[in-house]
Amino acid sequence: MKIAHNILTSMVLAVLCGLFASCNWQQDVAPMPAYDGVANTTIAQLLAMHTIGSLDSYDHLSEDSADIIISGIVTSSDEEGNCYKYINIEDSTGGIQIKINSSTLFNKYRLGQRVYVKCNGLDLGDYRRLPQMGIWANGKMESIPSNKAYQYIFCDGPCQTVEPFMTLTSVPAKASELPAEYFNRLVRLEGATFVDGGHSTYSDEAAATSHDINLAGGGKVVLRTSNYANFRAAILPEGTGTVVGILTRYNDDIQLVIRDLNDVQGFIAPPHLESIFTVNYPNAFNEGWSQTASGSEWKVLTNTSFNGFYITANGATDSWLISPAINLSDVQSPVLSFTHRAPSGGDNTMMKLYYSANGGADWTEIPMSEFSTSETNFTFNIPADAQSSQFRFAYRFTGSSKSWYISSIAVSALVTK
Amino acid sequence: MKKTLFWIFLILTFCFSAYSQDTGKTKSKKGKTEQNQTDTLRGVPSQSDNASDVSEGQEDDSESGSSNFVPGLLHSSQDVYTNNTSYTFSIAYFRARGYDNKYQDVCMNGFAMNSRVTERASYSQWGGLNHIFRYPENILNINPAAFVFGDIGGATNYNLRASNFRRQVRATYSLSNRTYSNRFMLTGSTGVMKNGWSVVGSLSARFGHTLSYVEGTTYNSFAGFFAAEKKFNDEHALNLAAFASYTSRGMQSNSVQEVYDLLDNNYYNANWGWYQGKQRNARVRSVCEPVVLLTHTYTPKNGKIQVNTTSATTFRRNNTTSLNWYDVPDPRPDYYRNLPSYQINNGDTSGYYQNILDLWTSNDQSYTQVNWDNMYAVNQLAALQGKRAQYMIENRRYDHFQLGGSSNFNATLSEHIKLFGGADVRGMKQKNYKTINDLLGGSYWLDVDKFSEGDFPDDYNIQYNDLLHKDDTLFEGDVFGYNYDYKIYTQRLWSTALFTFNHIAFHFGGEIGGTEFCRVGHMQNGRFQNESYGQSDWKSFLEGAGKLGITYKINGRNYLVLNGMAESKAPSVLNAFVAPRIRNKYVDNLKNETIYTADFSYVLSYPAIKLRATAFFTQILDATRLISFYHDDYASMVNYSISSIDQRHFGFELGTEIKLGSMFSLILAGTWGDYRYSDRAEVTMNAENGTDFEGDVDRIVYWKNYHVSGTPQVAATAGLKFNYNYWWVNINANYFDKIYCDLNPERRTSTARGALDENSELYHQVADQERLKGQFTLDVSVSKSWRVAHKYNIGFNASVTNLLNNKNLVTTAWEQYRFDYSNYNVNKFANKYYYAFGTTFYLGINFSF
Repeated sequence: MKIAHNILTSMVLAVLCGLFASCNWQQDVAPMPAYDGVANTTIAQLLAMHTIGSLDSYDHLSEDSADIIISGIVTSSDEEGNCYKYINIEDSTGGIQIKINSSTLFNKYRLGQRVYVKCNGLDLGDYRRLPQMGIWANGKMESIPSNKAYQYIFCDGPCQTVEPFMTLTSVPAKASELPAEYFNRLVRLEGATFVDGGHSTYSDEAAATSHDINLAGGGKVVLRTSNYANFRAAILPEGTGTVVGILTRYNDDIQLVIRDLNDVQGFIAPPHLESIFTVNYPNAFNEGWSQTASGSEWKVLTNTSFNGFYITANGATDSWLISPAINLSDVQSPVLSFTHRAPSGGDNTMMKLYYSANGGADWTEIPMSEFSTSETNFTFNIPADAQSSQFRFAYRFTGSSKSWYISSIAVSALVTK
Repeated sequence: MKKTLFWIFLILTFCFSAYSQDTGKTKSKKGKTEQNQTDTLRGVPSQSDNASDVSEGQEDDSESGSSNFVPGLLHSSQDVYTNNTSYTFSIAYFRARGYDNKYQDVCMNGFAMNSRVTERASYSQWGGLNHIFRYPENILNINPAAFVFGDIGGATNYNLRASNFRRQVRATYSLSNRTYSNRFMLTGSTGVMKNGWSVVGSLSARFGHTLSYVEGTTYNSFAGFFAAEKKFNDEHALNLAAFASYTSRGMQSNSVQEVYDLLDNNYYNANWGWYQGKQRNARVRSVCEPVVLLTHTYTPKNGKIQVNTTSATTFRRNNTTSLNWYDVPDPRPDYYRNLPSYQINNGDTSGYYQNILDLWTSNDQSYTQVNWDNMYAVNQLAALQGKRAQYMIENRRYDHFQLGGSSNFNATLSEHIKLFGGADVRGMKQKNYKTINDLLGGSYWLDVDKFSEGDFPDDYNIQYNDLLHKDDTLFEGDVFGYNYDYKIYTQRLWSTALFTFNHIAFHFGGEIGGTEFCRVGHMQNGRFQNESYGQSDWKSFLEGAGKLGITYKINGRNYLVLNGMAESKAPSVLNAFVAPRIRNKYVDNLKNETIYTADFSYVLSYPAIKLRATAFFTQILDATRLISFYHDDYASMVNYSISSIDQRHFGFELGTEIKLGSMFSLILAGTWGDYRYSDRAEVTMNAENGTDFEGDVDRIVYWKNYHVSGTPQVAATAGLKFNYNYWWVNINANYFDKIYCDLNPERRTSTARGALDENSELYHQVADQERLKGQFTLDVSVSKSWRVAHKYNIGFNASVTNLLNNKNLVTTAWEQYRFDYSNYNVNKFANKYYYAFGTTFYLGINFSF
């Protein structure tokens, strides 16, 4: 009877389906993974199950004992290769590093993903006093094989935005002076300065590399970067800014691991002097340099020991060596600098330096002092009222004998990176 | 007990068949009932290895073509839809109503040829014997049949009684550029002779691949048929029919589009390579399944009843060769690591990438085809050092032996009432094992599992596939890998009653049956030492089905037909074990598949216009499927047992044939279908090696409302027929659409989705189902026959399929089961495709007298 009923139902459905033929049926959507259980242990409680001693050690979390289930948010990512073969998770009480033998964990344990970890069967230990979970073998904490991880670690729900749990403006001298719950968690360092900023790469090519970060509020943190990180070759920024990362330790060193370069924020390098004008001596007189010579002329000398202008007076001379027009209208704090050598036993008043803000129509003398018969640096801060688009400077030699040698002529200005 | 009953029944059937003495005369061909009968010749692109059952690395391809079609033979149909679509739709691997072939019963003298293992009838069993298997009786869909109860996909019966063939000698030669080049067929039949004997014999040969559409697809097939019938008297006749078709063919591979594009060839075949100056195919399928049928026909003189009783035996030898390798790189040229994209995915866009790209774009066949020389060199070097072979060709054997009997009656109880009924009982044993075909210059083989070795250093035994022979060195011909049997018994009892009145005809019927099966392991596997060897428990299933139908005759030209069917089928033994190759463990909660279906038709039948319009609806519940593949996340071959598969198929069919004058007819026919998974499925996954699963892993497959693949869901044809003075010309323009890629269930699980945002591009890459572009094809066929000297018939036919050479029609597409959990790069294991052939021809000449 039931069969007959079903046949009749099918017949009716056949007709109904004709009517609904044009319906747009929604494609099924797999829900995000959900863990069927609850965490019964905080990470702080878990960490308390292992006592950190002076040597690396571990405690086995037995399968036979009561379930130990923790839950936390993933704060690490190996997408850029810096967090290598582990994930970090944290809850409100602490953080833990879990070692998994895979180098592409970021798709499985995404940043901000809540995971539950059934810890029974794993080993809880430490590496140089940093807590880790994995499988202890060969005297150290080894990774969980990637094809076993599913037995212990369970994803749950969507990814959340991950924010550092606290901001540090200073740190004590030793890691042991920081609360244990800070480690393996995401922190923000404010007022951070890289000691090697501006010139060192994040990591050497050959090995993971440490770089000190000084905090404005006091103390230092070691930035630890893998040589496998994709951003390894980037240059550490200068100046002061904010660094976000996972706080770790190496014995008593406080360390930080960043996920990617977005973790390094707000660094503004201080302005620094940069040449905006230099001289190509062999061709200088074709590139705007000129002279008005009375008596001996200015000349160019280039050899292995000298590159520059010189003049040797042979009889009464009053010769000007005039620079090309230089546009200083848009630069900050320009400085004229050069090296020169005065004649021995000469009269230093033979050597004069001028500048002009109007292309040479009017000249203002720049007082010089400290003449020396050896190479001497001279610098002059060009005053603001001289910063025109037609700035020139000039050397004037008045004498009847003796020589003046000038080299390394440059105009520099402050530049913000 | 079951077995005892089985043997008793079988012996009784056999005796009944054999015990006949009197002579009689032939009963004329059964009058065909109702209008919904047809000659489909379907299923010829044998999809017995359809893509959805394919596992990674062991793709079994179907015969990509339609070589068995002979246009001009499709004239016996009375169904205007099927008649005009079965051939033209075959190029797209069209399946009526989206059904798997297993839902169609194919019988010979009333004995169903469907394997009790695969549940499908394999047309290759009688491949080449077209002279004999020309005029089947086809029951469309769920209409009632007189010879079998029938399944939702209809039923077909071939009458193999020698008296059914009139006195004739017939010879045919055909030439084609599809799968084989030449076909010869020769048949002789005596008709009913004065002494009551009738004899038929037929021979066939198909061979040659010089014209084959796909490179490397060798083809050799030889077939023979013999039947003799003795009419003892008016009431009793006994017929013995025996036939066999041996076919050996080099198979076509399927590849990712990247490969097809690199070579600019959608018919690239990765299976072959140059060896000693010849193309050698690594995947050769050889099938031979001899069938012997002894049929007794009883037609009492009152003319009210006919009883056909057939006992039959079939023995199948099915072998497919395949490469096997140990601790060396995958030798398949289109393996994903051998493709340029793999280098790009690994971040290399210069060195290796450029080299590999050059090898592909220049089609360096030492790289783009199987490199036999390299494999021989590696093996010979190993042999010199006394080490095992590292490459070899294996045989994958599926051999069976079947013995069974069926008996059907067909009774006219009154002017208004007919009764059909029957019984069927059979037993079958299928052996599944691998042997070494060719060590390729190597010295010996060791039967260890390459995925298990090294994963379990503590347990030395675990790597062995057979602990009973673990230290054996194996040579060509030796069994290795796995070795197990299925034993299956089935029983069926059915009956259908038909009532016919002036304006109303109706029928109802039912079937009840049982299936029992078990697995017998012949190896003790090192991973599952306690559940691999010996016989499993028996499982038995009660099955049943019911049919109901009403035809309302508005008048002699207009009919309304409503049919319905419900059935409960035992799960296939193929899906019953969690890891059938190595374990006796059954899938949990194994249960019957349930199907409800109904269709409603309007039929118009005028001399000048014929029309059928049908709406159909089918709900399949609790179907099962087992797939196995390499799971990257578990680093293991896994068996993926999918249960609770629910499918809803509904749609419309329309066939019209309009006569335009005396010579022309216009054809308009097509179907619009919607075949989807109607609910989520459940999966139990277990590792075959590599990883020590702690129990099985359960998952849910979220694929509700995704499309069922395997056929275009929209297909239409417009054609013109011309017929004058024994000239026949057919022109058809065809359109196919709603072709969907077969799904990797894993990609629709929570595990694969992870925390991906439903609206993200990556989510859609992972979860969306590819729909292939709709395509047009054009077919033309011409045939002509002459009668010479009032005695000889000469016939000629030529057909050109896909005249416009459209090479973009995808017949089969599927997602690989490997999924890149590391990077979620769906293109790492990209979809694979088969394309319908471009322009192909078929020429034939017939001679008969």
